Amino acid sequence: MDLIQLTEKEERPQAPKPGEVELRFSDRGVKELDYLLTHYPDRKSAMLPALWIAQREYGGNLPAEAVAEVAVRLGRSYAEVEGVATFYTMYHIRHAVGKHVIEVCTCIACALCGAYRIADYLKAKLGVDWGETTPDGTFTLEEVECLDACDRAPVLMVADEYIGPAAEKDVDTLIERLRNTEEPTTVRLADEVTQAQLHKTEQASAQD
Amino acid sequence: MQTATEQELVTITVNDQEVRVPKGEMIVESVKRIGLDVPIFCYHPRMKPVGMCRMCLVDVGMKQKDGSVRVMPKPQTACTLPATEGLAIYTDTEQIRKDRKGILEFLLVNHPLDCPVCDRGGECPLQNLTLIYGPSTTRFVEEKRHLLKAFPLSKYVQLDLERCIQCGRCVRFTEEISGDGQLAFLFRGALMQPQTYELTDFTSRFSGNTIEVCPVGALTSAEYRFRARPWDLETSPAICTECSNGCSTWFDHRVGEMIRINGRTNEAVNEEWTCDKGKFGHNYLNSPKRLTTPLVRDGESLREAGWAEAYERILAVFKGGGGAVAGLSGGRPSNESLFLWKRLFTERFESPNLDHRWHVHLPGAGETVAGRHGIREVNTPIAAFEGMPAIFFFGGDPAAEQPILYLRVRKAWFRNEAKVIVAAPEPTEADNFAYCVLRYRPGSEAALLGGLTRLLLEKAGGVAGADELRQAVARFTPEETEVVTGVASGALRRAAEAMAEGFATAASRTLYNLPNGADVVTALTNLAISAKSADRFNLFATEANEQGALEIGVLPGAGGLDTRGILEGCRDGGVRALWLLQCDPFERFPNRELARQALENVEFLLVQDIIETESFHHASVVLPCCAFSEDDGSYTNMERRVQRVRRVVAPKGHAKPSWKVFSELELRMTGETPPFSAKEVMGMLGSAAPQYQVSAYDHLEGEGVILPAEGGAAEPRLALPDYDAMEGSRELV
Amino acid sequence: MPETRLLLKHSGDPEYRAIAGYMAEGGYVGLKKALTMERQAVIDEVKKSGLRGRGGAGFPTWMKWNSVPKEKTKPHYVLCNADEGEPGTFKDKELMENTPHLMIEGMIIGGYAIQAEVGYVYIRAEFMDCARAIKMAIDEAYENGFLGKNILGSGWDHDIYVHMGAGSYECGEENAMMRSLMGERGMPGLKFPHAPFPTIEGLWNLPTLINNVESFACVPHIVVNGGDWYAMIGASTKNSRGTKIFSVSGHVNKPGNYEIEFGMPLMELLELAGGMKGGELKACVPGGSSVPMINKEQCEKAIIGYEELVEVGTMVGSGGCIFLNEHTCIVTFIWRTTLFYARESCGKCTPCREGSGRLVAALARLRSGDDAQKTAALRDIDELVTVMRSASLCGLGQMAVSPATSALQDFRQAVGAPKGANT
Repeated sequence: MDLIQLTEKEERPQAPKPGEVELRFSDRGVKELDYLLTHYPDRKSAMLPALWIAQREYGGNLPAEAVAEVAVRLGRSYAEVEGVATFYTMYHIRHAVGKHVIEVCTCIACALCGAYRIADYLKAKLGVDWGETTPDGTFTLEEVECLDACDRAPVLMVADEYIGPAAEKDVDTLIERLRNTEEPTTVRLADEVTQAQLHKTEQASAQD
Repeated sequence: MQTATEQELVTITVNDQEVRVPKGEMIVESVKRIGLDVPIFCYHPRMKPVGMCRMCLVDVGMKQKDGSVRVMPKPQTACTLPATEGLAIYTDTEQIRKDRKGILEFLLVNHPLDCPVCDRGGECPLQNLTLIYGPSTTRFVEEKRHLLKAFPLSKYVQLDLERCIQCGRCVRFTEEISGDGQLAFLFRGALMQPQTYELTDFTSRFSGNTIEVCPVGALTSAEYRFRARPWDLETSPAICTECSNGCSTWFDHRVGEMIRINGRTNEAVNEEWTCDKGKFGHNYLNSPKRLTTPLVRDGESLREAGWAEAYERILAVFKGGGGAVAGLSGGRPSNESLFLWKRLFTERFESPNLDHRWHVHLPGAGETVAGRHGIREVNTPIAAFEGMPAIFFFGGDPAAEQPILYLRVRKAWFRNEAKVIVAAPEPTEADNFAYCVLRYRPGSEAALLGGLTRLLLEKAGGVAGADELRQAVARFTPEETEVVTGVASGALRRAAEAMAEGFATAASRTLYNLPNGADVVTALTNLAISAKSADRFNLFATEANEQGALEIGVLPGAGGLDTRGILEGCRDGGVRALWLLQCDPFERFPNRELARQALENVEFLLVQDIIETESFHHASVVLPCCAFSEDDGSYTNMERRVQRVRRVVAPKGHAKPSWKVFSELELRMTGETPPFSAKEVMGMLGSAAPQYQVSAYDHLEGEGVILPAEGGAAEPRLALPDYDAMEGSRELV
Repeated sequence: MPETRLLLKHSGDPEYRAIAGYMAEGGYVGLKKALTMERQAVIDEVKKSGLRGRGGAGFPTWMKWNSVPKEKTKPHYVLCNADEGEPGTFKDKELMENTPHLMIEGMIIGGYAIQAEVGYVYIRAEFMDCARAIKMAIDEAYENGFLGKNILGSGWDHDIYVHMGAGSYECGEENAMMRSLMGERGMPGLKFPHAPFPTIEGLWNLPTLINNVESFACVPHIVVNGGDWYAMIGASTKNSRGTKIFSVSGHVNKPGNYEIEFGMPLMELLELAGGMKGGELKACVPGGSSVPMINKEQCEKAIIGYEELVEVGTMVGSGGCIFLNEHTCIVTFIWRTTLFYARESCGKCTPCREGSGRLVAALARLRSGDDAQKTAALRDIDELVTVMRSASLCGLGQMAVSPATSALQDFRQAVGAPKGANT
């Protein structure tokens, strides 16, 4: 983590006041959140769904502004929302990712079946290490824990798609395909997650 | 609140010793009853137990029917285990010793062990418990975790994440106690760390408490940083005089200098908390601008003088001054000082011109709450707010005006689901837990109160003299009230609903800063009486001993001038000499121009203060006085609680306690034996103001005492304020 | 012994995923039947069936159902734990993808039995295929009147919502899951005896029934055919009834899900999965990474059943069965398993937060150190795991040590041996 360098104690950065936070959710996002709020008896419980919507609305990442917006929309403190978001590995907060995140499972079953070999191949091919993004901002390589597809070990995941058992040639095909995919798959995943939580009628109404 | 007699008791055994404890009490507390202690880090008696640090593990068994004990296979955390009948606790088994040692080893694995340069060293629970239970060496050879160090989280709080043991006390404090939620745990697993949002400024009003609840040196005070080691400090009990709440504090000092202030437990007042103003606002005590010796004016400049010379000059003007001399005080001098000062004016100088109030509106004797309604201004002790089902905050931001009362009300909501109704023209910190927020337009106070009164009168019925009032507020229907105040009629109804069963009013005397202050206060009192809640009505003081000044009667006597009158008198020449006791009109009086004219024109200005103020430059004579830590005395806080303070450090330079100055002046005027101690003065105060009889110093240990009510409880009277005059705000619409 | 396909009977049949196909095979008959029964009668059938929780702990399902207050004074909730995350387990994934209605029907029946108004399915966000299938099943159930207001004219209303996780193994722990659903960090809270069971105080402090996907999927079969019928399956075991899906992976020829009757020898399960690949059997983790590892000898004795597996020193767990061949380095294997726990530790309690990382470090020393370092590492591990097991707040920390302890017991000689290094 980069330390914030400060000259004077008095010059500490201030959190925005709730009224000053820029609200950037699209109409659809707002409607979806409104529906999700009806699923729970309190607003706080919509935290995870709201963060997913934010991740979609902010282009696949959760910058500080997105955290603030979710906090304002749910009436929680900024720190609390940031604390929740940083707990879960699938929210991209405090580490921006590229258009496509390639997740490699290296957990036990996959490790037994050659996940580290595939990982090394991917690292060499993309020229990045774990957690790094290619200079053109297209790919981020991440090591993840068990994806629960051990029958398909070693397995990779991109957005909502599992690839496995993955051999070197599968990796080549995947990279090629993703290079030609315009829409960031990170955004697609966030959208898919959001849609899965809405009933059909709610989905239809939110899209109007 | 549950009282001890209602609590069901159960029998448990601790290390085979039987003990009766309240059912449901956490075992960590129960073991204390037989003098045992289990080590803790994350547990804090005032926060919900979480069982995170695992330091308090004990072996737990259950007594079986045949008398044998079945021990659970795994030890349990004593901080989260409620006492039930037949529980058997073992605090010192082989496994427990091993676990404690293991936990400490884990905690130290990533701890930097930089105790020699850590402010917490010497008073650090981690250090202490490691000494008792922990390993003496480490076995791990791996690199420690590296995180943020010595990071200024705010002007007051420094964060060192490498020292943090992730107990969550600070996070829980901001969630549960102060409620601002400014700290949260970020990330997870070994990287879990408490922080503010994006490391922005930690702006809580109560941030200082997180330093005290931190069991290691992760959160330290920026003010105290590297200034002393705890074992070099002397610690004395004191009372905070920064506001009217009167928190108990520990005053840590070294060679006569204040080093830091910490919270001291007083269940009746501040529990153990302090606000940041109280914790960090005492730097003036060590300020180079402190007054240390009497000064007298020679021509253009002030020069140092002895007390005798100063007394001579003062008596030459004030002795027999009558109506031509006047005195203004702030709300900070002690009861003893205020009493003797008042006696000096009324009996020795024979002047009725005395006041301690600085509001825009200064009600005459007949206009006060007592005068109009026959009830006391203050009726509810701070601690009693905890049990109130409904609480009505009116007029200002309670967190700013009454920080400790605010914490107590928040606790009432957090623990007992009290309904808190917040009526204020601006957003307040109480809004986020309020049952109902009534945001009215400034100037429409009376209409709002009228609207509420109308709704409550409908429900109450049978309040004596209500008919006239009913007529007077008849036009404030919820809809009309909405037009005038901007408060939605639905919100008004919802508030009235919650208040109908009775409520505690919490407002402060800053209401008198409204142009129609006395009428607003009357409307507020009517509202309380309408819901039969006059016994829970409170119009609180805001300064440390403002309530004392009121009780003692530092007020204009018959035909005397009030603050405004005195200042006008100074300006116009009617008042020749003015005595300012720990107050600065430039800062306090709403009309600064009048203050300037008054101080420039008055012939003789006596300034008696702790520190150089703006008025100081106009003074004819300056007397230095002692701060609360340098003098014996007592203070009456906003709930009418009298608390005693003792001299902790020596007065600065030649400064003298104010009460001593007054008694020395009396001696020069009368030749009578003066009181030699503050205790003696308190005895005299008791005979002059009977409510203070209970305040003999022998009774004032611990929590202090609340002044008794004089006489029987009078039937509260409704009064008709000028509701019409208040409708000016309608023009704003 | 062949497979006994009850839940997975129609797995792989695309028709069966849609409600029409499901109903053609007897779907929602259980719900219709249940709605005509007394609520207690439904619970009694589950009791008779002997069904035990399939999520890992094997707690009798009916006892949970029965402990929800019968007198309804406040809302009740159902929560389906679909946050499958145990390394080696992928049975819920197949169930949700291929037989979503089975689980939804089971949840509705559960909701009826405990008088719940709302049910939530907590699915990990990686399982998008499952989430889509479940979402579609819910939509179809609404369209057919199996969810919503006045279900099948019973006067009882029930809604089910999908709640997606966001990447945390710890959220599979029921207590952490509830917190996660309530919008908090997925950390476990206090458990009995420190706090009431979730069936008394669960979501939003209200009674909440939490069951695993597989447990719910068993329910329609139990209601339709009766608890007694179900209890006959697996009757050869002490106290394990019905079928259990085992996810077989590792060094086997045909990894996949195999639904078997309790009482089958472990070696037969291995045969079903096509036998070992690349070498002889060395060890097996039969119930997901949290359960103790057993060696070949124990495998040969092992009969699949809750009590039966305990006899050979391991557990049924969630049914994630990983077979290791003779070329596997056990130390590396447990190092990788422990690394999983260190990375997924929520950080709430000290032993797990600090201990899991130290255990990984000590195992790394054991892997690559010299003899003296190995001896020291072994001693450290011994003491570390005692504290972690004894003092951790939840199952994650307590179970994180089981790979290390069990493997080191068996293979200690080999790993600690001065020569021969990594076995």
